[in-house]
Amino acid sequence: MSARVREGVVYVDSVQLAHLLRRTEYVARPSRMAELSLGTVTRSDAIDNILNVTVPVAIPTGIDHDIDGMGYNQWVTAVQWWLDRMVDSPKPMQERMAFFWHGHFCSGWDKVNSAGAMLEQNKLFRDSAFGNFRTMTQTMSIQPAMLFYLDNLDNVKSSPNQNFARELMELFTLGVVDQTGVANYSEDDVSAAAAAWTGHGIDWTTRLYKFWPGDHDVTNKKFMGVTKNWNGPDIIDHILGNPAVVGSSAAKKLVACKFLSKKLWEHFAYEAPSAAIVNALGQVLYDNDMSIKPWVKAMLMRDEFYSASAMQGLVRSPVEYVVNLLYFTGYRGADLNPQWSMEAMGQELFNPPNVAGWKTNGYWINTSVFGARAEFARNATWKLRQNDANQVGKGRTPTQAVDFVATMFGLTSNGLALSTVTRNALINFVTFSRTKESAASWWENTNLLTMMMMTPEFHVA
Amino acid sequence: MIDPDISTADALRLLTVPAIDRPDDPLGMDRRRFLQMMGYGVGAGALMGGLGETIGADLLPGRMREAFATTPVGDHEGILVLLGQFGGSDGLNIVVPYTNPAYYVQHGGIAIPANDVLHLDAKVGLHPSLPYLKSLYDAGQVAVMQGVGYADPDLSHFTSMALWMYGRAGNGTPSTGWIGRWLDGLNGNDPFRAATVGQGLPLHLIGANKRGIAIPQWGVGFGGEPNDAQHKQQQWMYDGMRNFASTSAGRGPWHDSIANTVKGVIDVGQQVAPVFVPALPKTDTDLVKKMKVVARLINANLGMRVIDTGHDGFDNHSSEPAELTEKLVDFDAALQAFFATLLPQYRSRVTIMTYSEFGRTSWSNDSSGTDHGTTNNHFIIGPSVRGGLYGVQPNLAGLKRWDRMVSAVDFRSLYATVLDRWLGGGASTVLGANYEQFDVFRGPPGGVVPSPPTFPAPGAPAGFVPLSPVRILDTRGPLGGHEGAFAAGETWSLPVRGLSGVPADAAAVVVNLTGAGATSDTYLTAWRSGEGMPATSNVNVVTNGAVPNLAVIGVGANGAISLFNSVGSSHVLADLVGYFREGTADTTALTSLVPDRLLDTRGDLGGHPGAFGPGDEFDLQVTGRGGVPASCAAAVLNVTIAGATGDTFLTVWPNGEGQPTTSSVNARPGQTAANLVISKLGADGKIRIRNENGSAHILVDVAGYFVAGTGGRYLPVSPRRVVDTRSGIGAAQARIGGAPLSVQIAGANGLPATGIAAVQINLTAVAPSSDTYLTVYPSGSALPNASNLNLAAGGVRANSVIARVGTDGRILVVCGQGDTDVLVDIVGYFTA
Repeated sequence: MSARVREGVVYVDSVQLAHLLRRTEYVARPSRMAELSLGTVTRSDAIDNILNVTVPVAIPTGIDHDIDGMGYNQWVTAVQWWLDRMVDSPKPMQERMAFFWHGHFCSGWDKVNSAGAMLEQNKLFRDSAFGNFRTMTQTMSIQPAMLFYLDNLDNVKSSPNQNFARELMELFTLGVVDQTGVANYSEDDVSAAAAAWTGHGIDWTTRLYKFWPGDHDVTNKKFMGVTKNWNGPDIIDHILGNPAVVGSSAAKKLVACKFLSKKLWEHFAYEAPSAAIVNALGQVLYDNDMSIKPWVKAMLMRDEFYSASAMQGLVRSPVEYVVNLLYFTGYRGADLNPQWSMEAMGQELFNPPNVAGWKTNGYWINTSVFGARAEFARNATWKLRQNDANQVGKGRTPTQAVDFVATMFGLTSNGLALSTVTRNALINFVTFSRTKESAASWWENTNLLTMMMMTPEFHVA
Repeated sequence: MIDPDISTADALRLLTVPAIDRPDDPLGMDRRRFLQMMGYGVGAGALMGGLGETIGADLLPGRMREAFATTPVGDHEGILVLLGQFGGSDGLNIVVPYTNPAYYVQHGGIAIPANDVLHLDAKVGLHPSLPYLKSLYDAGQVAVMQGVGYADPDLSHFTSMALWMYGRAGNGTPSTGWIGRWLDGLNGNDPFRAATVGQGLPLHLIGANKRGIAIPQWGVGFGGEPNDAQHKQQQWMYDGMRNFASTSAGRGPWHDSIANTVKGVIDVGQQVAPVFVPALPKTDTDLVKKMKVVARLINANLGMRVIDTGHDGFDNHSSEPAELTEKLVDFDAALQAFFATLLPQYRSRVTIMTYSEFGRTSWSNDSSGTDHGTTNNHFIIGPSVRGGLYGVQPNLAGLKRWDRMVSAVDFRSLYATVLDRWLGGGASTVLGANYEQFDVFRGPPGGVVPSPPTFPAPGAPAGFVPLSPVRILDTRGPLGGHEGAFAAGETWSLPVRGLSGVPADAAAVVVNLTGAGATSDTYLTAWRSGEGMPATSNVNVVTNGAVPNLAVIGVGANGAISLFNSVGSSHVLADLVGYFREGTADTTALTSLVPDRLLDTRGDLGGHPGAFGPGDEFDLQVTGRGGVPASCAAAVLNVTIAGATGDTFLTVWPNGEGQPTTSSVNARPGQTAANLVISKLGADGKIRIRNENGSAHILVDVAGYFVAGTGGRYLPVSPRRVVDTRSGIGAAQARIGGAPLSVQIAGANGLPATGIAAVQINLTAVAPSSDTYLTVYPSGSALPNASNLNLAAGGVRANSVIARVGTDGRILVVCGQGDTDVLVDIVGYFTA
């Protein structure tokens, strides 16, 4: 099952392709497996296909602007719309990358309190998912969602507010320290950047971005050793090394590229990548002047992405769990109302817990949040069992019943299989139940469905 | 905006510090080692397998049912509740340095006005949204830890919070937290020793080989069905799912960790589910819910020694007044809900401690907020706590925009204190160093819960000598020796001995104090010169208004009274109307009455139908009416101006004497305002009333009179709040309306059970639902046609009241229109 290599070209096999699709498209859908498994499809071809998305994507009417008093309803609509797109859009990697940027450049519905602003930002993340990072950062910085979320609209020369200026460097681009432990910026740099960003606010009538010259600090500010009349966008051009701007920092640009590369790898592959991986990906982003698509492709091309550590390296986040559950049960967001359960699982779309975004892996595993996953599985079970449907044990031996339900949830193909310990636990449950009640009893059918959705196999990515 | 669950990823952020020992992986450093511990997941699941190297063999799968057996908390073991204020709380607006001018300059528009602050002493007080915490402080159960921080602070939410949770010095790798390391030192492997109520396990509950569990505040659903015949099928399912973890699947650590966590969901559910019965009201806020669950977990005696919880939303970069108030209202309600839920037998074993990642800047920003700062104030709360102020408020002098406040107390001193003095020891091991400790506990856990605080015994009873009213201070001119308004925070002494016949042995003077022309809302405090300033106020002055209140003020050994103005500048007027001296010679005594109305110009009661015009004067007969005998020296009156058309004041003086240059009641146009007036009567038993400007209706009620010979002698007491309906002190936590609120005076709050004829109170109404008035009268009497306090809907106003006490030792307070919160402070009483 290892990759076929001929004349330096790497072909995909079904296990690798399934892994690639699960990581990029949530689910290895049979149609996509067939499309990309034609025997002559190389790894590069498959990746190009996955990354070849259509833009722009329209935001449904009803959540594209603010409707008085409808904030909560609009949020519900937005969550369900996005989850459904993750499940069934032709190229779900578009949604995965949009989600990655959502967790990177966080804004939260609770604070922004505007469907229009939140979906405008969401559209940027989707339409620019494979565009240029620096350009996206510039646009993101002056969209109302971010101006509200990190208070930059209150940042005026008479009283600077550092919130955005600080996080721009700490969380969005550079990180606190570089690979050698040297601080990437000083507190004085934060103050200078805050001064540079003064006056970038909104027009309170239209609630669109507006630059207020009277609130803007036009004095000379010393930022990263350069004293001049810095303006906010200059800060981004400087630290992200815009080649069109004389004097912009190539060194900071490389730091940012590595910072982002580590985050990307940890999101898609596994935690704590080696320096070699981070440096190589960082260099790709740097060499392409922060263009995102070649960078993501470089990640997916690496052999480490198909290693055992990568295949076993990630726990499904609540979003990924819900998307998988929706896909395999065939329900839509509106059927199961996952927005009610996802807060308890620790992840609400459009509402990151804080400006640092969501965490990964170990964070998703504790009795509290896993209890919420079990509750959601239970609710899906009640739906599946409506009118006594899904009599999964009927006419099947315990082993057949378990394998049947495992297949229902995609756990028996493309290199996936229940582990011996899980499969035996399920078979023993069915066998025991049948010593107490009739075969394929109401409770046996019900509980076997819930149990399958709570197998470890269903929660690793 | 930080969430409570600063667990894996946030702590991991710290690990971006380079590793010297892993040159091949400069970004990784100890991450790998950390992941081996952390990465297996947090919560109970992580306890169970996958951690063979660090978790004892008796915690391996298959033994878990035994491992989850719980051990009750011993009678003398302390329980610590950690309550996080995430986002970095603004300690200066929580414990307010309300006499520090620098605070008002730097905090600017978001500073808490001094007269809103709940005073703890003459310098600091609590945010007005913390009345329950204030009542606990008054009961001696709150240690206020001031100036808490650490050297070389970090302004990142994440780094700073991780350092707080780590609890050791330096920027080392925080793979463990301080409570986790304390757990490591305990005997046994009981996983119920520490828990967090919320999602995710915070770093501070994670040790090298033990950790707490996470319990969601909304209850355990899945896994919680009881193990009985009715739910046997669920139990079969649970047993089947437990078996996912019966051995390693060989699919890598995450797979095994998930299997163990699914098992943990069920095991914890089976143990904890009973705690959530009955269900908590849906209307509870998240924090109230959490704190009730914390109390129920303690009541269930599952063996928990440390329970962590908290709430988010203290990162108030903007709109701080509204946002912080909302958070503190929630905090105060949660504290109250906690102690109401906690069973009495655990009270002496429970202490609550607050924490946050940092404080905020002393300067506000232009968004009505504050930015990330350093030093903060925190609370240690509980019946076994030795209440008081500890540490030092941060020095604000000379601070500029981004300057950091210097901390006086290292936060690890708080940890050392609770570890050694409440949790049984181990501070130096857990914290890796020795830190200063505070004597904040009255004794070890499980000791006797202290009885309510005692008040100093009052002095000897004093009799009253009425005087013709005379102005003795007017800062608008030279009268009294203080020409010019009182400055913010100014204290000044006014000599009274010898003035207008005040003798050398006068114990106290009766003065109508008026604040006028104030540049901001402020308050005045008056007290016996030579003593420390009390934590009370006498007059709540509004900007540019003139507000009076009658005060009985002790005379110091130097023959003076002291006066204090809080904020802004304010003119102060003092009108002397009498004095008290000990003994019965040459003095009069009080006979209190059920209040009765003597004058109401809205009708013809009292003989003056129709409003007073500008400069109108009228002689009102007092003796022979309302129970006042023919020969008496002075009367206790409540005088009300209703519907004034101009800025006006009334002067009340003994009929037949010349008009003094004094005032008794003030009102603004359209306002209805009342004031307590004690007036000497003219030889004909009348008082003379003059209205200065515009037209105004006038109402006069009588509540008592002074005559020579037998009667009530006055005993001042240290002021004490006996009713606060906002927080349920001394009464139900419910606004009062037309049904009278009964307040026990005799035999309560340190007052004697017998021998009290009348009580002097300061009555405050807060935020009535409509324009209204309050009436105070003796229990057992019918509601009289009288009033004591008038105010507009939504307002706050106070007035002194001298009220006769019913035969059952009680007074009644009733709200005339709508409903309102009320506060009653006792400041003295008259003997029978």
